[in-house]
Amino acid sequence: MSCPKSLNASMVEESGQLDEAVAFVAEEGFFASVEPVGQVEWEELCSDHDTWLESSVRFHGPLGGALRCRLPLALARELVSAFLGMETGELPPSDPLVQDLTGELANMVCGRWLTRTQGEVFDLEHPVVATAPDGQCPGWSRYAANGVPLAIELAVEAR
Amino acid sequence: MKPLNCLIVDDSSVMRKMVRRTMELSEVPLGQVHEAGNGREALDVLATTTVDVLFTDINMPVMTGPELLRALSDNPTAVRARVVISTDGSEARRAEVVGLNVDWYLEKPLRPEVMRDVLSKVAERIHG
Repeated sequence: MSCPKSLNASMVEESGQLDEAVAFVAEEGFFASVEPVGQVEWEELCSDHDTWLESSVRFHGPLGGALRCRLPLALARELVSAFLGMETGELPPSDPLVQDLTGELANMVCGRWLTRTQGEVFDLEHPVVATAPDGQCPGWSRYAANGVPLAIELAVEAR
Repeated sequence: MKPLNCLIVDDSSVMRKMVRRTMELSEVPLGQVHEAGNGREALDVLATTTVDVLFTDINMPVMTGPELLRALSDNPTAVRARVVISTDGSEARRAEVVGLNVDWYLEKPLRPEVMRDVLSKVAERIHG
């Protein structure tokens, strides 16, 4: 999957806003607790998971770019259940719902970040979701969401 | 109180399910709840029925939310209350739907208490 350039200097200053966007969407949408984690903790969290998904949403407007989310399938299923208020014991969410939710996660984080940092009109493309080989994504922002790894990359084209 | 008939328009099926769930949690009596994947499908639904409240996303393929709302401006009785639900909460985006008879503009993710508040106000407006 191709991606735009990495964060430029002015965007790095706004990376705290990315943490805020991730935490807001996780807490408000999924009742999930999210905390940034370092490399060692990230490796430990990843070791429990072998099936990963990645969603990407591109945006266009006063600046262009893309936001990508990578997370284990287990977390995506957990988020669907929380998002839809599914009861314990219900059948696990279907694969299309899991894929859809993974795309919406990127969509909501991207929308929140753009709203809070830019305040101008952007067009977001339909999210693209695919399987990912593993949790190795150097340079991405890394979080523990309910104790499960979640990585986010925000890449923008130079202004 | 007469149940509210609703239409949810979003290209994401999981988002439509979430909106439906928050509606069901609101404890406001609901009648028929229709779903559509874009503005064109919504117009197809509205060609055969009227609804009390329309919830629409903005960014959708085929026909966007603003295009749908613009199309409905010729038919003010088809929908009695219009609600936008979007990931984009910017003032600039909100300004785009000014003049399209939008009653509420909500941001995703949507909190159940916000939905309850909106549906209660729609019910009050319609039923007194």
